[in-house]
Amino acid sequence: MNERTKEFIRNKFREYYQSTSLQLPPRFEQREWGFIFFDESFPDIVMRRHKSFMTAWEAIDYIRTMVPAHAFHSAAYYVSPSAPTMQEKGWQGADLIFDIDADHLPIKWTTYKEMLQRTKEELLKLLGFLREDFAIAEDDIEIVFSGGRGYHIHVRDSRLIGLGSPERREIVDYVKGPDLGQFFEKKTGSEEGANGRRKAYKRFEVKYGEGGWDGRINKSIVDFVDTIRQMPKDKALEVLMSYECFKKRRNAEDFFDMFQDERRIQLIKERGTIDIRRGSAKFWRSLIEESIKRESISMDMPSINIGKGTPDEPVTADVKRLIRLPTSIHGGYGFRVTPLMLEGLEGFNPLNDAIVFGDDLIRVNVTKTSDVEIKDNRYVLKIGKQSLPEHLAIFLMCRGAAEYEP
Amino acid sequence: MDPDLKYAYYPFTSWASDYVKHSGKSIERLLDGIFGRDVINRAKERVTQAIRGDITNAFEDKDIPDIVDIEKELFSYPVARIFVSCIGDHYLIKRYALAEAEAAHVHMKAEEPEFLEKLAGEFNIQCMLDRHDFQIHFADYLRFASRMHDPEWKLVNRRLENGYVPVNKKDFVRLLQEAIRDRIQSSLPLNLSPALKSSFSSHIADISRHFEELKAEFRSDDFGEANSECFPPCIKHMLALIQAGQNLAHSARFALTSFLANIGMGAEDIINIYRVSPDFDEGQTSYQVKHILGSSGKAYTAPNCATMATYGNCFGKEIICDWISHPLSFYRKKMDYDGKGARREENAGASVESTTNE
Repeated sequence: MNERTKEFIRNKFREYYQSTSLQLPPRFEQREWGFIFFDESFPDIVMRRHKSFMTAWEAIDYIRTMVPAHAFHSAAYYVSPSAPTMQEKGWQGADLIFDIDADHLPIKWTTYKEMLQRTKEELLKLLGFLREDFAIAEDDIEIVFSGGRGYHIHVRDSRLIGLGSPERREIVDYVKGPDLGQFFEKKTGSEEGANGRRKAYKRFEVKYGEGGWDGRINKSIVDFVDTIRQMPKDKALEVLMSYECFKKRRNAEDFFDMFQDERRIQLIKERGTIDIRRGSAKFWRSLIEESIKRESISMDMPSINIGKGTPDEPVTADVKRLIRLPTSIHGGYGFRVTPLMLEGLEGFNPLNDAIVFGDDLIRVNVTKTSDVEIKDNRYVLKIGKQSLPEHLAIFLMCRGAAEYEP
Repeated sequence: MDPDLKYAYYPFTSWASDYVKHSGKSIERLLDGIFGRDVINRAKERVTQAIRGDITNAFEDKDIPDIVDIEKELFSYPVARIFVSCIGDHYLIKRYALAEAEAAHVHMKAEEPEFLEKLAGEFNIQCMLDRHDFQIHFADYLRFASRMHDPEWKLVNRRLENGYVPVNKKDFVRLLQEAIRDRIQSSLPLNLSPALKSSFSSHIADISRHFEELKAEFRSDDFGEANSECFPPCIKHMLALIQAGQNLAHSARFALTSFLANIGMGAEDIINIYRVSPDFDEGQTSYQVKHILGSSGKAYTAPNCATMATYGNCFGKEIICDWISHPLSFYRKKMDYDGKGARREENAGASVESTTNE
């Protein structure tokens, strides 16, 4: 990025900051702030940390005057947020943060739009965990589009603020899902047979219950069996035989017939009994494995913050981490870090709704061929000088794919 | 109000300390008289027993303890805290808090659920009694369960509904034990006047002696055939933490155990290293160490440097660290350098000795 481009973007960011009403996080005066400026080293990352503000006016005035490329605040609350070392800062607690970033997820995508859609699916799953299993009140959850490749969740339940890293890691492990072995147990024992004699048994059971992972897995098994039994037989056998363990049609048929009896489903729901016939263990195993994979969230990746740092703690477990200021602009994309309401989430489209810059034509020199979908238009861009709408021009310049060329 | 047994069993509660406060018996006055002498002896016993292991039940050989017995037991607790504070050693404080919490655990196991619910209130634990089991808010559950090493305590292996984790009485009592340990540990050492300290000096000297003996027992580094001089800085750091009486995080324990196992140390030698940990549990440690050594059919290899760094277990880099990516490589390299020289000297020594024997 050349100096002229930096100057142009900075001016545009300034216009935004001077006209928008910035949102400060609760207890902002107890937080540490960090900024990256449009200085000589930009777009290389030099973070100025250990900043603090006593009043809202001071904070907003600073951002409007300095016009940072990136603005962050700590998830943590400190006695002296501007002290240079952790020891002196005096940690008092921290919001619980989740960073759902495409770079941390084992998902595949072909376009930016698709990637954002995938991360939103993960976000919705995570919100399900937070609202249902953890029973966190809606008012204590702030959802934010990160301005880049995903979403942030800030949880501000007073009971969670004091949790340390090991406790937070347990929460992450919970949403990452349990081991298969937890759900799939081989039970041995003896029971009274029809003839009155006791006989030994070995059987598999799956856990049961209303809520939590037990309920989730049990429900997905019941749903699967229910779907199968209501299908026409041919179709059902086709689905069953797609599982490796049903090698013979005969086995799949046995299985299908068995589940015509509704009491079987009741047994799964109420007692976790799945050991219907010999040899079905393999099938259940893959079914449970599938549902754990589908319901869980993979997020135990090192935080990348911005730029290439050394891998550190997983984001959520890091109680000293800085997080982007909602309502600021992400200097790597030119998008607004957008606070979202739970209701509006479904319809939120970052490529429309997180864009703050206008449509005036701007002269730029495109330096990398790009294929961009933005504000409901698709642009296939060739290298060279051209006039583009401001919002697209700024996106390209922030991505390092164009320079300002008045 | 007369004190009941609960005061003696749970002297760290606010009701017990209120009783002590309002009894009109000051610490200074306790120093005189028979009652005071008994209280001090029991307080001393509390601390020395904590150093050695378990604090015993004072009423074991009494059918029905009377008020004087109960008061003695109750007052011995604040005095024991003074003794611990006079010595002020970080490791002693940990050890003492653990022993007090374990002593309370023995009593708690016999309590009614309603009483345990009341006790949980002392520690601001949000919970509900659900017939014989308890529902505990997950944040409170995590405060205490996240430090337990057995996978059964992991939140993901528990049921979690509407923010609450159901736990049975046995587990609930175990969580309370941790809450008690935290409270005692974080409230020590007390800020004491030099005058008070000196009035207890002879008792303190006795306790210190016990404590120094214990520390000496564990100081002797015995790594068998292994050469601890050649350990990488991360492993040395973990060993130092254990020696200082710190509990290691799970990932650090795993790293240390697998490292020591990989360089050929036996299970018994490794278990002995952990013996000094404040929450040492012979059965559990032995199970975990043997598991890592391969009792289940799979022996583990120590984590590499990148993994160590991810979990915050990479400490004090040395020059060799730049050349290697695995703590075991550090050890081998250093053994090659230092070891060769050392072995030559050893051989020389052996031959001299054999000559003298002849």
